[in-house]
Amino acid sequence: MIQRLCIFTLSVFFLVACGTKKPGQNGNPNDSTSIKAYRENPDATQCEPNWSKDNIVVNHWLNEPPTLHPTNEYTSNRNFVFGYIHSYLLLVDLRTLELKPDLVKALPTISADGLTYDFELKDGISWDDGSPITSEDVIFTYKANSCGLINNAFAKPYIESLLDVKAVQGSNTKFQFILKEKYILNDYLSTYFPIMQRKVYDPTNVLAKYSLATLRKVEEITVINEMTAWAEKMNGPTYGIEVANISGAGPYKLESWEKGQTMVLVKKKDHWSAKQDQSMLQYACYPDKIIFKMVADENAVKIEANNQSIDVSTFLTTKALLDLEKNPEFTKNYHFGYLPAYNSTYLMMNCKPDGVNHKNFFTDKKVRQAMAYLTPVEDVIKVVYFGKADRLVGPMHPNKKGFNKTLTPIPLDIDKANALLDEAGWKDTDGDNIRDKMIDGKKEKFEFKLMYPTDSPVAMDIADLVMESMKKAMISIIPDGMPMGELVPKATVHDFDMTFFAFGQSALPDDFKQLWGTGSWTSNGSNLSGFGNAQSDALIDSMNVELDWNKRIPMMHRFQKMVYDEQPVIFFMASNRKIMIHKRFGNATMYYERPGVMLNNLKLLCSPANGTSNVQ
Amino acid sequence: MIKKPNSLWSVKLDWYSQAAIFCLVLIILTGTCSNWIATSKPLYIKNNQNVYFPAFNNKKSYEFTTEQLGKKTYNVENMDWVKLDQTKKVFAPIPYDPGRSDMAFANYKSPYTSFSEAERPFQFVHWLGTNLKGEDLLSGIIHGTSVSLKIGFFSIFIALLIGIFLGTIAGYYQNDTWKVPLFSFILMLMTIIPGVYLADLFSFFAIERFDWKNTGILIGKIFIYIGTLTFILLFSHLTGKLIHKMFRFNKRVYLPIDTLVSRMIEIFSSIPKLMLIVALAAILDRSVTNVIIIIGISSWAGIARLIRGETLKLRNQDFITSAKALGLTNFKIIRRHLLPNISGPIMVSFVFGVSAAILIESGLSFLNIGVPENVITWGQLLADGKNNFNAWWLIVFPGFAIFITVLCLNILGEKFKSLLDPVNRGIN
Amino acid sequence: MSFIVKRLLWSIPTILAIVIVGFVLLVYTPGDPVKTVLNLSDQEDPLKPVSPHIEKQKKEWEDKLGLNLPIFYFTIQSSVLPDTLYKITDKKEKETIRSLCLSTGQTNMVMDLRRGIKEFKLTWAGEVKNLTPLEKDSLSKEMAEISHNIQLLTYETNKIKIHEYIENLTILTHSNFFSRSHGIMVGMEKEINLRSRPGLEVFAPTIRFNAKSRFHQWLLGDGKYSKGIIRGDFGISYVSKEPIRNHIYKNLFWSVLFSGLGILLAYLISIPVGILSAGINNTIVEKLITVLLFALYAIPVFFMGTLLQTYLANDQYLHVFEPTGIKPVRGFDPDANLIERWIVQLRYMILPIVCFTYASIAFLSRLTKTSMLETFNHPYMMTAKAKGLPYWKILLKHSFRNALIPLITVFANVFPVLVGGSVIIESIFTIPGMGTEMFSSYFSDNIPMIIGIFTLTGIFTVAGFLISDILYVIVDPRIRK
Repeated sequence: MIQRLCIFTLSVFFLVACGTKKPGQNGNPNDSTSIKAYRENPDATQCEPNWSKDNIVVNHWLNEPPTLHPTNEYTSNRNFVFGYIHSYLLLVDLRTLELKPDLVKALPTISADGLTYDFELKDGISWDDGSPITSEDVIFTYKANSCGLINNAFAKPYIESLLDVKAVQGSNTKFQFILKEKYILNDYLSTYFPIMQRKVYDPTNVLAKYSLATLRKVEEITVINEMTAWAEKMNGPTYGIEVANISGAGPYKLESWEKGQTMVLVKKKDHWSAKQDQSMLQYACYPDKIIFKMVADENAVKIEANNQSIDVSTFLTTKALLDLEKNPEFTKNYHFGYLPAYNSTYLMMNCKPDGVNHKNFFTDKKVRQAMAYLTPVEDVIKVVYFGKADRLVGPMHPNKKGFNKTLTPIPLDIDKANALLDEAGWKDTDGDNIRDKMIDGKKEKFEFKLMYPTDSPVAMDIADLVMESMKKAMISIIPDGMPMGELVPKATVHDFDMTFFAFGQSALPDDFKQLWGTGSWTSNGSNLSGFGNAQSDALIDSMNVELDWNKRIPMMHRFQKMVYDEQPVIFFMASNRKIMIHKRFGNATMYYERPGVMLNNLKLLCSPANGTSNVQ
Repeated sequence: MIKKPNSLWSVKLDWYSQAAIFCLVLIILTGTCSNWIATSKPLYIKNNQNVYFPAFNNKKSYEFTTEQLGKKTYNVENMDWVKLDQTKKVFAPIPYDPGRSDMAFANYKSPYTSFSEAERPFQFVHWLGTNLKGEDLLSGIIHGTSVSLKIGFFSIFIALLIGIFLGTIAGYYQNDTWKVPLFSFILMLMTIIPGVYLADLFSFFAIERFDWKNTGILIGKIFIYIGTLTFILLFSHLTGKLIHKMFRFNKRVYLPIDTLVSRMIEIFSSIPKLMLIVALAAILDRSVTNVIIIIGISSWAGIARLIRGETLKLRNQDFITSAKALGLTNFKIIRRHLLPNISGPIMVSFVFGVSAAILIESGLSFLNIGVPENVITWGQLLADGKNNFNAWWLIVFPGFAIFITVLCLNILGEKFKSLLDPVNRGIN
Repeated sequence: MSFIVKRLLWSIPTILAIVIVGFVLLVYTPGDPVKTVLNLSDQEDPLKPVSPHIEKQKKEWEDKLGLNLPIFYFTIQSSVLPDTLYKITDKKEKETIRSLCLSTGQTNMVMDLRRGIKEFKLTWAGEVKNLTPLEKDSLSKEMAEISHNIQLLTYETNKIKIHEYIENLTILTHSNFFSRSHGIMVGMEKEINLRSRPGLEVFAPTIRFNAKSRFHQWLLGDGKYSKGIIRGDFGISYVSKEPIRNHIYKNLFWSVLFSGLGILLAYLISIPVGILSAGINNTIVEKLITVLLFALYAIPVFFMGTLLQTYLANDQYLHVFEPTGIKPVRGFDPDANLIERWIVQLRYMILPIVCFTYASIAFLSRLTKTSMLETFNHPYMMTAKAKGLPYWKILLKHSFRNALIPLITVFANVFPVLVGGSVIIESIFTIPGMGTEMFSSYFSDNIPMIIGIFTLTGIFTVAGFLISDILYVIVDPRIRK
């Protein structure tokens, strides 16, 4: 169950990079209050004459989501749109990274055993046709997403822990979640799935006849014809492509979508969100229109920024933004920044190889440490990321609460690595410049394959640097590039010697079980390298139920030290999120978490009437 | 002896054609000698009375004696040749390997900065600048030459093989020359499908038997298919002939070779080249061989059409007719008299084809569907620079390499063309 | 007239052949279409048997895509292969069975092996389900190894390795908890004895004729799921699940518009240039023009595109044109009239069109020049010269007219280059044409879309040939004979 976070965010991979200039160490590590995860930009005081004065935000993206299907679309790009056209039960507040109620009145009340969550919907919330949003819609949404006939295999692990959704008797605004087990991330179940209107997606109310458990195991349903008819329509292109059928409870509506060109969202009139608390980022909507403009070519994006024809971009490459920075016109017109983001790039070593296809190179701790000494992480950051990335030292992001500051980065030290390898018995005995060792009476060469995704030019460059460096210690690496689609399945079944892997993590509390628990090694989960033993598992388990930060932090420190000593992976870096926002908009806050910018918050400063600043 | 009407080799070339030939020879030489022109290994090294030539062999490690460290084994991959004391060294003209980063010059150093910032001997300057990882561009261009030329020449070679074969037989035999016994014809028609069936089986067994790696499979399959089909067709032809002789059955038919080939040409030229390439690239693995094959099989049609036309022109000329009258076999006539006389058009299409193939390769690299990333070609170098217009040297120099090659090839092509053109000859 | 009819008839087999080539490419693409369509992951967890409803959905898509039909109207295959091989839609499975059957010749034993593996997976998964959590923990290592071994065994074609894996599995399952699956493996160990080499019966073919075939469905439709290419249906997009015809024609419009204007511009520029260089043949200026044209020809199109974009559509330098897209993102000014709209639209279109054009200018102007020079030797030129007509007049009136014919012929050659060469230009300028669609489909493995575009551009090119041939006849009536 726990492999979900990682697999889900994989599509972000090297595209969205992250990192930080260590903007404060989150104050006191024992302080359990909120962290600051955003950067505010002061509003421009004066409008330039060449700034556009219409209340339309043009947002750039590299490629558009293939569909906007509420259940079946899984590319990360859908989130950029879904945030504006759909509503959820709960939302993550990008400023504090805490949960806030969206469609519900308050955060759920949790029963004593932690298995029942009670929600109540807000008053006065309604769909576009004027009918109120009721618990029926919520129940439909969660049933549809659990249904075995819906093609959303990628999302199923997220909803697995949900046993049932029930309406509370006598009320159409109250409902309950029944959960399988107690778990700290159970709340987040209500942030993944946009609420869908039952009347639109299931006019004949087919799903009401079945319980959630039955829907999950559709094979138990006997009369199936109406079910399959519904599922076929649901899975089909109707709700993913046709503009008229793409709608949700959010403050914006899809107006037009020209494939490969633009997607236009227009602000709904008299939407219920206007009467809600405007301090919620999602409810403060200023632009009349949000236009997503597709520009795939990197050079063209730079030109568009020079021309001021895009207002916001979160898809810039570091190099592009560095180039743009040099242009004084650009700095006059745009806010921009390199912001930390929560993801991490690792070089995984197979610590539990099968011995047949993959040799026992990395079962030895000394060898693993030597590999870490041989990895030119600083060079990679300097060269590939132009210094706009943060070095990772252990399994936690340095900008997160509970980070163990006593751990020091492992420097590039070929002599030390040579010494460690010699110690481990790997020596070049035959003079062919590759270390070898007698294993079970057979001479094995220190030669292995390094997998990297070819979809990302960055990965290729990093792999180059790593290979060059390792060559110096007489280790031969065979580069093995493949598309992400092939790499991920291979990596998850431990079919590799060494591989790149990047996790698009979030700022949520870390559940180390996903990446470091032995359970997710055996279940082909996200513990690719095979770290872990009974001791570490026990520590992880006790951390996951410990809600007191004061007690939890020492445990986290201990755990980080444990991983650091073992070095099952080579910790690379978290690169920065690059954002630019046009200065004609106020409220130009940039967030560490995706999507980086809330487009609906951008407030036009230069009104079309007088053309001057209306900033007080 | 029959007079050859126009020989390419007896003409005196004007100065720019000579310059073009000179440039081409230089480029080809650079390509073949790239391992010795641009390498970090010294060409010559003398240490302790021993003389080595590291650039010319693949020795993995050397034993050198220095004053400070005494006798020590050095690893070729690891060692810094420059810092080696107590030795006499001669470095290659470009003392850098392609694809090996120089951290001091990482992040796009222009040729100018390389000159002004280098605190090292004059020879160790990055003449044409570096790229993101500090790799020497000049070294890349020199090493890219061989792959780019390889792609250019071999792919057109494939295209020429197919084009010449089909073009000449279509042009020479037409629909009314190759008479075969009716039996042969029927047998041939009947055995095409079993032939494909057998070829499929054979290729399966061959792949299993020889355990071909990815790159070999496609070429191997193509060869086995062609081989098996030829064999089967020949076999049925001979069988047909035998039956024909045994039963003294007089009926013979003409093979409609020209119609067949012309249809094939039309079909292939109807398929947009880049579309075919992208479609094929979606199916095949990324490798240099596959790129060569893809470009080769997508560009034979034009050549075949040209050759067919030329053959058609010559076919009824006196020297062919008289050769026929002398009783030479068709094969001999094609080989001895026809082919030498269409060598001009062949040359022209070869030369133009090579330049087109080099351009196609660079386009494929741009789209990131061409050769694998770790192979250096001019196109790859260009694609590397296309997002960094500030790093102009990454575009200008590889682009110039392509431009010069294509220009030289085209000048030659034009020259050949005009030499062969009766009108021009008349004017001159 | 009869020529045109004959020509039209001849283009039918050509189109058919293009369709066949497209179909062959479609059939031989690697990857499992059903898994792509259903968003199923490629890896299989033997502990999670697929639900029967997923199986049902799979079946439905197999019907829709015609995967469970034989490929062509007739099948000819080795007699050692099972008759119903085509019904196996999992490509990897099919390849494994084919490979094993051919290399051993023991059809029945291979099928037994497959059945055994399937049965083992089910039984073992059942047994694992019944374990208590405590037992599961203690057995986790064995379970991981079993799972690994069975996954390897599933698609293994090496006979020695197969026996090895079976042996491994027999040893690994040797515990009380997995007694039933152990039994299956023991049975398999006894039964399965694969030969190292097949007998001669491998070469004996079996031939079958199929009334229903995938090709038939692809070409003519099956009246249920597909209308067939003949009615403009190119199948279903793997990504959006909607029929490809729904947006392929919109892409086609932009592609044809850009290439059409490109061809027009190429002719408009290159003919005068050609005439000029014919007129001043062998002068310095002419040689300069030649080198310039070659230089243009040698510049890769992506370089030219980026160059134009950077220097002519950039506020930093000169902002005359627009860098990307086909029209303003905010829409046209509502007050603007048609002409004003077109002026705005042209700012988006000119740069791509220039890119479409510049390379063919070199080619076309050379052709104009040489074919004009060719006419110089004809008697009518001599007559014209003798009459004392001015040089340029002769050139334009007599020479050019005759030089027009090869230009029309060559139209057929330029057309496919323009349609096909658009991939790069369209991706630089973000034009929603066939090229970008093809390109994005390439990266999302949307094979039907690739093949659809391939076939459609092919058909269009045939149409281009047809037009040029007909024009040819109109200009030069002698050709008809």
